[in-house]
Amino acid sequence: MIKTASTTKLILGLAITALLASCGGDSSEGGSNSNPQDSAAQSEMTKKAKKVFYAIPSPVEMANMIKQSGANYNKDLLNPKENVSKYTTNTSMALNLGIYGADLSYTSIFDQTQPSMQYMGCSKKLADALGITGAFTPETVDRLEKNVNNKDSLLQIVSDAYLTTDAYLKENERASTSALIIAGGWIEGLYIATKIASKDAKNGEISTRIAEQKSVLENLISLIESYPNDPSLADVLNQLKSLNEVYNGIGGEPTKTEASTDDKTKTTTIGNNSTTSLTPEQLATISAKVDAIRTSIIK
Amino acid sequence: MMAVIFSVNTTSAQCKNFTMKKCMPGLAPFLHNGQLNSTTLSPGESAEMQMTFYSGQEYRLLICGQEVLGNIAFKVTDLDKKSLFDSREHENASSWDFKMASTQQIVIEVIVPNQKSANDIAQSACVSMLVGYKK
Repeated sequence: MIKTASTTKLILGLAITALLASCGGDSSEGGSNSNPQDSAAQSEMTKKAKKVFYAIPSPVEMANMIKQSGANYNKDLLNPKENVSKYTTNTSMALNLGIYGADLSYTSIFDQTQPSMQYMGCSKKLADALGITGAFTPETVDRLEKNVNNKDSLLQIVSDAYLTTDAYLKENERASTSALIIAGGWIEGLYIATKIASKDAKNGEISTRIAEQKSVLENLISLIESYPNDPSLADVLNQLKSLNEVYNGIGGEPTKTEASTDDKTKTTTIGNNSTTSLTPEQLATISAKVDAIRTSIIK
Repeated sequence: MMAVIFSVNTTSAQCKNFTMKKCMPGLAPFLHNGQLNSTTLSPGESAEMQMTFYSGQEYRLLICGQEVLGNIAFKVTDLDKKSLFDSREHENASSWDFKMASTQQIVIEVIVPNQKSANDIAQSACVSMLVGYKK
């Protein structure tokens, strides 16, 4: 992924070695001894695989869409703060750091100041236990306290804390831990959405958002699969794949994507005329599956 | 003479610091998505990012690279590789906003120009792909 100083030195060392080898003569090199097939294979081996990232919408964005749908705040949907002391393995801490991040996003969007402070505390506790420095510092908590009544600032602080977490983990070769945090945050956002939809059948907007998570789920699975050597991701990967089987039955016919660009405003509008919706049965199945996954993480 | 690739000593920490200090401010007033997607690329190389953009939302894509790499281009396509936006057709813009009429999987490809330096040494450096959404 990102080259470290030691990797840089290794590349330099290899390059110099190759240069030195090419300067020496080989007495057998009279005529051509090179095999075209060996050259092609060598070229293929040295070609770097293209780096592919899978970005997942933030829990703040999901919480914002939940609020935009007209849903009311419901504190009973959130992971109780008291559960924080249950999480002692790196896997459970990372997943629940994501879950509490989603809860913090939800309370922030709905202007719930006291719960926001409390969920920030839970996030800090887990980040500290995971050895993540610089993200949930006392200064961050202090900033949150001072800005708790300013939603824009609050959301910026929360987003910054999670960005710093992600950056720290990637910088320290712990990107798979970041993937767990992202997974936890996404699962909690979807859980909250499904609980709201289950109680309010008329909220078509939130039902549509739930259906749209199909593509996000595919990207999340791809993200987690990009760390095949980390066994701590295996359980959540299996759970997400089983959820994906439920989502496989959802979705309409492929549609044509169109884009129009306005150079004055430097904006491109993209649309594909597709609509995604859920039947009550599909919503119930997704809800049950998400509930089960979330319960296994927070227990 | 064999071309040699040297890194411009871009460590993870330097790439992160570069992104946070030099790139992130360009997203304002959009709120970033909380993920740092940065990598080291050399001339002629490319990287991709796949993500879902939601209907009714507005996003900003900001592609930020260290100066030694020159004008980095970016393309936005759907999953079928249909081109939706190409920065090379818009004065090599480094950022662009997207309004979504429907929810869509998109692929962002960043392409480092294949430029030769005076001493034929290809330099690799940090490239970041940042996404913000409008609050």
